Amino acid sequence: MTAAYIILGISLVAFGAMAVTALVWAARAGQFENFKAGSESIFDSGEPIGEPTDLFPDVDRAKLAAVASRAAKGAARP
Amino acid sequence: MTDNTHSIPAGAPPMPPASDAAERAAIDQSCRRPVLFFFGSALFWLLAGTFFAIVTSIKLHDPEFMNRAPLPDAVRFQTGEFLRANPISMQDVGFLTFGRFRAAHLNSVAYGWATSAAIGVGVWLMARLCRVPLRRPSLVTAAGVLWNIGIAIGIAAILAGQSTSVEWLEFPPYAALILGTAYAIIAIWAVDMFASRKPGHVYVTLWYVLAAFFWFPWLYASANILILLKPVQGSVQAIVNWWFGHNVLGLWFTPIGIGAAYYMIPKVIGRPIHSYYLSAIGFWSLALFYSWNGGHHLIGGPLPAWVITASIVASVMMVIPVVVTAINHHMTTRGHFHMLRYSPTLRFVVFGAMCYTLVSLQGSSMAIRSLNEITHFTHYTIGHAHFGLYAFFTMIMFGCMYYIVPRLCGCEWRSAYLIRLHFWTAAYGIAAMVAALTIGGLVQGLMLADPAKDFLGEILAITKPYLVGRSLSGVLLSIGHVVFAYHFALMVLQLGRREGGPVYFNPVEGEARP
Repeated sequence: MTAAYIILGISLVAFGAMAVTALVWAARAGQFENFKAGSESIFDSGEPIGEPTDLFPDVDRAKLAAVASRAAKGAARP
Repeated sequence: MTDNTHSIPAGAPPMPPASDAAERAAIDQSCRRPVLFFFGSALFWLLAGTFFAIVTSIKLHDPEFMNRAPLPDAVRFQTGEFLRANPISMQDVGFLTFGRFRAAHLNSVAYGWATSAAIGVGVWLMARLCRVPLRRPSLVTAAGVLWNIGIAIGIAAILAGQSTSVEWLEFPPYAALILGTAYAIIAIWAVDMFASRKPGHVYVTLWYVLAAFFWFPWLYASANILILLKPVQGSVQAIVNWWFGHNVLGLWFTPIGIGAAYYMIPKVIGRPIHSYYLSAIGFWSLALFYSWNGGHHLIGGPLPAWVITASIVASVMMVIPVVVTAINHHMTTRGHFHMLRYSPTLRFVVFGAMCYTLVSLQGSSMAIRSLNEITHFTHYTIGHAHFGLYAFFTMIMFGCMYYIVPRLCGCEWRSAYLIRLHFWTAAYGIAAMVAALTIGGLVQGLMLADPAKDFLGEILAITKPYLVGRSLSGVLLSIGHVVFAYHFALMVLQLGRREGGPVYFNPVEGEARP
């Protein structure tokens, strides 16, 4: 049972402490401050908002442009 | 980097200096070897696990299948009696018996396929979201080799009859030790990778992936110590067993699957996530509630009532992160559903994300005592398990692979037809399987609850057509798996499309677009 108590101790104390540390760190580091910038952080000039990045290999360029413009219109809607 | 240049058509301008697109291509290329190794080995175990699954499934409605001697009618369902009557023939084919093949199926798909795919996707996502090339790629590959050695030894041990007979932990301790070591390397690497990220925002996917890389080794080590090395006594073993069993789903597969969807859906559509605030709530409430859920596997068991009740409450509380995630994914995709026609990644990932909502709400309802009385110990539960691990998790992994592999190999998928064939066999196959097991399980559960029903004569007979249906749906899924493995092999062998250059991961063309 000693092993059980050790693991229980580690789980309750160390695991909980790490979760709290992570949450406090995130708040202090400003991770919860600007949600809009956060959600846009995966886009950049090479793959901007409004451009799809995956298509079936048989979709041609003209169709791609049409899809992209439709997606852009969709993104512009409120 | 070098391989990517192959895809640039002759006469194209030289690669521009470090732009966003070139930087991203360099990051993708740094993941090439380890991620392709994890994906390739994952597909190998998927095919092996599918074979075990088909045989196991057929044995359930046709016990003579792959047995040496036909079973006499009187003992068809009484294996113990059959063993006494035919000791030699059963010893000859012992490794083909249901008990071993089922465990081999579970472990090869859960650890061989799903976990390897999750590590591959997680490693790639970490590199992209830390915005630095992969650190120590050969260490990650080495961990992958070790992981596969552990799985191979474990599956061989199960087939040889050395299973521990603890569900989800069937691998004997020596195989578990190898797996634990391999995973520990990945976990330490993940911390190192996170620490060396470029400064800036930590995207929600990175939260999920990092948490998953941290949770799994802790779960796996705790469960192996408490059940195999220093076993706790009595019914506490069952609690540890299902605390682990459910957390593998909830704190390992779920965060990787959801995290990948939080990256892939916005990225493929080209639209930021609907509400980033909701995604933060979803992550922290999942972390809070999920680890309590395991006890709902033991409703009706000889445990303190508060343990079960606490886990039922937590299971129902899971509605919060699930609904939050569902709203967020749906609102992000809304207005872009036409993209499902054009993007293979989006098609698989959105299918998986929708199934996540459905299977999680089903799971919460199954934790309620009055429904659990009917569904527990029936095929309904098996249907739920496949709904979660296949329709949700596996479909998202397929979708991610369709996105990641061309960017690592530098060529485009060869055949749109094969992708569509894979999607429809997988979608119809899993839908048929879940339907057969859910309806069959309900019928079975309602009949089992009626003491007047005869078990052998009525209940077994009425469930048999549903089990045949399950085997047929498994054949559909197998077709999809073989097609995908073939397509993947073409990509790794650099036999993908090159004419005109791939559209999206070519930095030069990325720059050239208006």
